[in-house]
Amino acid sequence: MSIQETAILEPGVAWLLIALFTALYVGLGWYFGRKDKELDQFVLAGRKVGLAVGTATAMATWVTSNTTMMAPQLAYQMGIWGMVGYSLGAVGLLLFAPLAKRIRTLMPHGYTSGDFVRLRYGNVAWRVFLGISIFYSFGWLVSLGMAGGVLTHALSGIPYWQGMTVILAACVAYTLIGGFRAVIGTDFIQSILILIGLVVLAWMVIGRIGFDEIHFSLELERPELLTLMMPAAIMFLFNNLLFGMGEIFHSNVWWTRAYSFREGVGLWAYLLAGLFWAPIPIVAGFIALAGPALGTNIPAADMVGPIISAELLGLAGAIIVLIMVFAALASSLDSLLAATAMLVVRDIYYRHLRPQASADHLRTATKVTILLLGVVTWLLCLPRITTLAELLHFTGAFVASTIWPIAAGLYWRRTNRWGATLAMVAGSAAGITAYFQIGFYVGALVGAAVSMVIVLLTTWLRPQEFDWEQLKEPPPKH
Amino acid sequence: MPQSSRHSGRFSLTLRVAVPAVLALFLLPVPILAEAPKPHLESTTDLARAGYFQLRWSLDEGEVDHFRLEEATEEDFSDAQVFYQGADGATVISGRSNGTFHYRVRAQLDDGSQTDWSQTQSVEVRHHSIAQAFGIFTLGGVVFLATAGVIAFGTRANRIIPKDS
Repeated sequence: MSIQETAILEPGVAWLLIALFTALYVGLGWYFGRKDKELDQFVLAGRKVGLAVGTATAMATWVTSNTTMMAPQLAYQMGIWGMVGYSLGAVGLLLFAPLAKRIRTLMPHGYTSGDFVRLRYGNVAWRVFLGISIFYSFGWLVSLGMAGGVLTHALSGIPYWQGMTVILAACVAYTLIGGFRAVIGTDFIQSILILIGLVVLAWMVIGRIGFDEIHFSLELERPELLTLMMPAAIMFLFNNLLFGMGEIFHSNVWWTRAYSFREGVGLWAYLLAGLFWAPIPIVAGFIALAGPALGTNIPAADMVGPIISAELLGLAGAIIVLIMVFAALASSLDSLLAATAMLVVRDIYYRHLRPQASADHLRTATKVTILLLGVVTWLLCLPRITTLAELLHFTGAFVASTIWPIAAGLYWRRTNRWGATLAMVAGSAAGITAYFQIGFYVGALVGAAVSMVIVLLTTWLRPQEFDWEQLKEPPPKH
Repeated sequence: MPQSSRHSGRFSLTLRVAVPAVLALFLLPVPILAEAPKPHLESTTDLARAGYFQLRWSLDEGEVDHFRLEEATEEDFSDAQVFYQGADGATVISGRSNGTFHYRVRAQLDDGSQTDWSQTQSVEVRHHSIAQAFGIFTLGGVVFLATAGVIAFGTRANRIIPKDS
């Protein structure tokens, strides 16, 4: 028996909406990417992305299905601090703004985040970094694929695996067809859909129930959700902030954007995206707090957002949520597929296996990799092993250990390669230990703290002199 | 007597056959009753350190109309309250203060009958200590401020260096 028996949308209506928006995104993908024949155009949109599209793509990519589904989950599990803590993920975007500018200046011909680590810290650190980054990418990809299945199941009762399969296939299809320009073009449309959907939902929730009733029910049934002294939530605050920083600082998703933006755009695009993004988890999380007032059963924590919206707002709410979360999911899934494929092709296939590969060959390899990533993600999504929050935060311990090697590596000449490598390895180990010993809400924080101490100590004890010019590697002669 | 004894012999033979048969008739349903289907109830954890956990239940046999999940703070369910009644097979409980909570579930079948209660599932909510929470919070604050400081000072230092240096 399925764990959820009550669904608002008829499965036929849900399938129709999914089919319509899949057709829209695939059509837009073809339209945006139809002229990109060169490799640089296919993977970096010709390095000429402007401020409006740049801001929209950064914001839409960061508004993932995790934001629209995990922020309610964390509000439902950890109360006020859960949703506030999630919104602190905006700090990662804000702090990456100056980094994006510096990356563009130091590495005008760069392609991936792996390029930076290789040139700055050498091969050992580079391979450790690739392991962390690809592991994280799969964690994020799987959480997105799972979110697609959870969403359609919660709203319409469509079996988890069917919804997950179709949504994943749709995103793989248009990323394959249109490349990076399709990704950022659809992000622009999707960010508008997400913002409109969220504003309408929040307005309807407040209008239908009201703050007083929400507060009264929470105080009566789930008092710890209102307290500001819930220990796990207090620990979660900085954990989520550092997790967000780790995700953005290391991930190729954000580095490819830094490389693809026109010069001078990166700083402002990331600053604006961070400011626009910050209130979104608060709005999305607030919806979950209406659950007890409604007396609605929540079978799984990651289903709370769609279920409350649909329960409260009926058919219209369910349709808005499906469109909005599908947009949020697609905007991140396509970015992640494109960026991870690029990391795999350039840093593993090209650098390790086929250094003589032509541009055409690499373009084909990128497409094949996108397809393979989709298949592997699908296989990993099938056994729904955990909740979205716990899956994603498992990767937090790893990515937070890259914050200091990246930040110090971009600004300090003296940070050395062995210090950076050790920081990533020991930080990950400490973070994952804390994840299992204490809880998912401390893994990233402990990983970042241990990594910071190691970078500081090794920079102080064994300083090296790094020449920034080494980062200006000429573009490959394909 | 012989007759009687014959009768008696036949009677005792009848008894020897009938009694076990009758007993069997009475006894047979007992194991059936003992093995009557009842829902299986489980929790994601027995010790919830963040005040939330998920309960899942299912019934292997029979067409279920709805489940009834009860919660109590007393082990004997003397203060039991209906926590959920419906067709779902799980629920998430969150925002609980410290304490031990007991749960049991039964199913109402489509034919109107209902199953026995499931086994009791107990979950202890014991939040982390506030000292540990603030210790980790402070550590997180230090890491964040240090990272922001590296970026802020680094950006400023690079801005004031002339381009030709």
